[in-house]
Amino acid sequence: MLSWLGSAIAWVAGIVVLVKLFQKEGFLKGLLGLICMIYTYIWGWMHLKDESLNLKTWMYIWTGAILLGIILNIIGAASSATSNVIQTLSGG
Amino acid sequence: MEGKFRRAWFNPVFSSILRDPAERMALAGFGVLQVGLHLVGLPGWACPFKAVFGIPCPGCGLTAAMDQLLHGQVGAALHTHAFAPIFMVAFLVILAAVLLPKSLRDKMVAGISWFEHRTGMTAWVLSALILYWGIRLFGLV
Repeated sequence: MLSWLGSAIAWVAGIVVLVKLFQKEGFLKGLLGLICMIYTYIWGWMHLKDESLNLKTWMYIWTGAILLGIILNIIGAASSATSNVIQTLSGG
Repeated sequence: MEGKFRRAWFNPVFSSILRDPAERMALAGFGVLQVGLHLVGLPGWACPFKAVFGIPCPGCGLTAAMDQLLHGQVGAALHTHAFAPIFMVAFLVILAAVLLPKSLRDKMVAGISWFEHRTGMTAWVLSALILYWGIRLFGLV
């Protein structure tokens, strides 16, 4: 659930940045950003200082959500590995 | 209206990315990291679209397909994502733009810009990719 929430926040922030990418750079770069969200993310960081775009908050939210996803992935992998070890040790 | 559309369609987008040192470096770095993580079996960039809605975005599967291409599995790569060879070429061009000396890079970028401007290739490829995405979503391929 928490992982899904992180993804949803990342999606919303990504869409906001994507809309700004469409507005600033035109249709083709926007389309490229839609197909390759990594490009939208890179573009967002590169235009962080552009006050007219007001990207700072959204980029921080997006990055935070990505980091949350990575942390949850690591916790998930670690807990699954731990339960496997316990199962093996208990002979189950 | 038509003139505006033509300008947008034939806008040399790819070469403008290649011209920008920060953009080409960042894209090359992210690309190497993403494909590298996939090659060693670690999770890379997670598509927020797929994570939220459970359906793939137009670019979903490209990393896996490029991994297959690097292993020489052309058929499997085309099955995973038909645009993988095109993106592989684009990725190699970005890497070349990062690594080549300035004079050679400028010549290459000028050539690509001219080609994009004449053919509208980037717009054709991106539009075809969106169409391919729709076809894939409906399970036709």
